[in-house]
Amino acid sequence: MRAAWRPPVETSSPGSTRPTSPRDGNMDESKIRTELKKWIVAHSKVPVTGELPDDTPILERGILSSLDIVELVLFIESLRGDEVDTEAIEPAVFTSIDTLYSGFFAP
Amino acid sequence: MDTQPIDRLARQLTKQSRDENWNVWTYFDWPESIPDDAWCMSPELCSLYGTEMWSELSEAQQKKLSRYEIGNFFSLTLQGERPLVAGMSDRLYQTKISSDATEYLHHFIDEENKHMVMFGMFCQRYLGKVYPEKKVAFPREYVKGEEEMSFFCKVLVVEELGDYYNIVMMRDERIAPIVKQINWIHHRDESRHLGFGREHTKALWEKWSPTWTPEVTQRFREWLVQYVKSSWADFYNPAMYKDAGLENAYELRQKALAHPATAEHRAKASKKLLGFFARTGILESVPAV
Ligand SMILES: [Fe+2]
Ligand SMILES: [Fe+2]
Repeated sequence: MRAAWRPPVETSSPGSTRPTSPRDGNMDESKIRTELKKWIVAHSKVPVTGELPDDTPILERGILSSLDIVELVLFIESLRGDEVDTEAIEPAVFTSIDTLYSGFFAP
Repeated sequence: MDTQPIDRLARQLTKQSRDENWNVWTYFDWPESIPDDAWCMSPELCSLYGTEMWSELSEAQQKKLSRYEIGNFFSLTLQGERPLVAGMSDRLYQTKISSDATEYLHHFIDEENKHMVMFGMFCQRYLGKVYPEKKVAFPREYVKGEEEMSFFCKVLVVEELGDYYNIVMMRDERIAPIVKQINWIHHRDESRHLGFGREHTKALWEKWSPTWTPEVTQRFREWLVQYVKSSWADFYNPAMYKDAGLENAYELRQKALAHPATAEHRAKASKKLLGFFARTGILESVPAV
């Protein structure tokens, strides 16, 4: 049994972008989608101009490469406050922000 | 053709493997437990070493972290050896590999299987688990020779980085004897694997890269640099920090990865690997990792 996750003690310096966990109660769906989008844009291999729609195919468009997925998984774990079992997930879950949200966060 | 230098090397390595053959089931005297006050990994190799995040820990906390660090390192090596054995098995008796090389690959596979047994036993005994891999496989297309090059480059990355750690730890009197011994036996086998891998990868590069377009070569090089970086990032595993009782494991990883002291460590520990890639022309220069 995994121990219940507790919110980390706030020690970050000003300007740190530490995400809050959904279990803090203050991270709703739109906040999670925004955090995912910010991360994807920051790690993009191609310039992303303007709005990045939630159904953009992020791998197909070359925005992320398959090697970025390990990093993305760790970021998702930090958002969820819980580990992701990569053996149990289908690659299709990494298609877009929509599929990431429904695969990892939707209740 | 048995006059190829790689075949001569394969025959030599086969002989050495037979001379140095060892039995993983009887080789170790596994201690019941490793005492809490023991270093399990050389402190200088721990991922936070050289940063304020390390100096802020008490020695007891550092030693506790070293236990999960060695568990993560052994798990990473084991996770890297799994696809390596699968790939080597696929190549046995194929026409692209000579019969001398096939004979040596049997030893390669045999030794890697023993390594997985040994790392798995260590992690299960003293940590109760092997750290899982976070990789997800996506199908992709390759030009001729590209997949072959990628496979052997991946093998070299896993083995060269691991070997740097093995060499430091097999000489370190401060660490738990069982860890020292595992590093020593692993290094002994790996030095043969590396000898073969470097020659074979160089030959593959000379064979295939002239047939690639500049775009393919560029794509391959970008992939390789990314692969080395992502292999390094695995050493900063948030799950390992969390197991060692450290808070904010994910941010700790991000901070540690971005710290100049750890960048310096990675440059030093990758020198041999990246020097090989640069010398052979596989990479144009030594990248920052
Ligand atoms: Fe090995
Ligand atoms: Fe090996």
